[in-house]
Amino acid sequence: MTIKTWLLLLSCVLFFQSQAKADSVITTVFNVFENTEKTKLLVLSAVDGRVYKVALPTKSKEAKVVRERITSFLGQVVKLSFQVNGTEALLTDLRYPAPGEVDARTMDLNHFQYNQLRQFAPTELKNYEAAEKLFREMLNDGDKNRSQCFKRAHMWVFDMWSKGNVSSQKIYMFYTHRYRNLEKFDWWFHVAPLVTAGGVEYVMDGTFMKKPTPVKEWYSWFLHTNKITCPEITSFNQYNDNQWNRLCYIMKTSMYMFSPVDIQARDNQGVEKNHWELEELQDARRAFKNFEKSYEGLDNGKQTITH
Amino acid sequence: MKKIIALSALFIMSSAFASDILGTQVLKGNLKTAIVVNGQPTACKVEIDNVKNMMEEDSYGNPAYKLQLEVKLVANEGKEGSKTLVKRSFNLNNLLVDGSTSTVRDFDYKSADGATMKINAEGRLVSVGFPFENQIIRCSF
Repeated sequence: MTIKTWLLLLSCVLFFQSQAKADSVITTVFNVFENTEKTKLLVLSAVDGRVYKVALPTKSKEAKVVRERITSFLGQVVKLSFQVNGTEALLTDLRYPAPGEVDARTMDLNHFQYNQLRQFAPTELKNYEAAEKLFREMLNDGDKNRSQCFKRAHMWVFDMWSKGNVSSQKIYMFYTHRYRNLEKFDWWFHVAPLVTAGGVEYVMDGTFMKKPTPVKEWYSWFLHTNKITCPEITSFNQYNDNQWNRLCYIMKTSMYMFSPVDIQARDNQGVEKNHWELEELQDARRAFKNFEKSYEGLDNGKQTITH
Repeated sequence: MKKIIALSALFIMSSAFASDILGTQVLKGNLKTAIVVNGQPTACKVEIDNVKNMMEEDSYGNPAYKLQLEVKLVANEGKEGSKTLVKRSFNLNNLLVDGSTSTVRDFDYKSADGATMKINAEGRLVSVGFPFENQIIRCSF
């Protein structure tokens, strides 16, 4: 082979290697699945919600060894090394951290478990352009009649957190009896992600809006007027107990609140939630038509809560 | 001095409660009562319909209602039968505007063309008033 050919080959190898970005993370292995084709193991990382993939050998004995080794780390704190190739994160190494590499008592490594020390703090985006970029990256199958808003919102906030490292809030809009009865309206609430960018709050409603939208503008769109104010409430009972002197209310919650049931449980029973629940993510994932492959690892094929 | 303090306290309290409304919804339906108009026994018949949110709010953020009131005065002319003196519709709402301040009143409604209406805490009609032949007709229920 000529020198020119070797140089060309070497450049190609270096080029493709540069496309695969290497990194590592200290995390808890929350769950391990096989994909539906049985060709990969999917490792769900609890600190960042990402799904890391490792190819299974074609020979069943070798595949069994890999499966058993990876599964042995379930629930454990690990150092996970990976390479990002396009949209996939490929696991290259999995081992226990070296002494001194991490203090698991002080690091918050499992966002799939309640942690009373975890204080939710929404990320402040630098500017509107950053919010716009997040908005463009939100999944959207264009079918607003297919799914329920709280499932779409949950998948969007999870994606922002796991893929974009952005902790967002959710904004709920509750319609009162007075509004629903007199306007012959079928919904009692609507919800979408909420981010702060450049000091301004924007609703990221990928179904009904074309861009990040200021809060008042967002709910005014649904009311078909900007002459009505939806007061902000902090407790579900403020909505429940005041169904006739207002038309609507808004409430901001952390990204973890899947539906109003979680808000009621918090306010009426003191059930705190600062973690993800896998069944809810699986259920939310089903909101998006034809996106099953994008959410490998969030779907283990079992029936979820609702359809 | 004590009087000034007491009056100030009353003023502050009334301002504080100015923002709290019940949001009582007017009940739709029709009612009839007997009155005397120009010396003649007359039936005052009213019908309330199209009760809706006005989709406007007062200075305190309270939303207003709007509705349609139809009134009919039927005079009893004895052996000659009865005669409809007036049949008219009014559009009323409970948003009271006073200069730069607006206030939603739970029990008081008015129209731009002189009709007024009062309801009780259950949303039932108590009285209506409307212009007719240079007088204001009042019907109580």
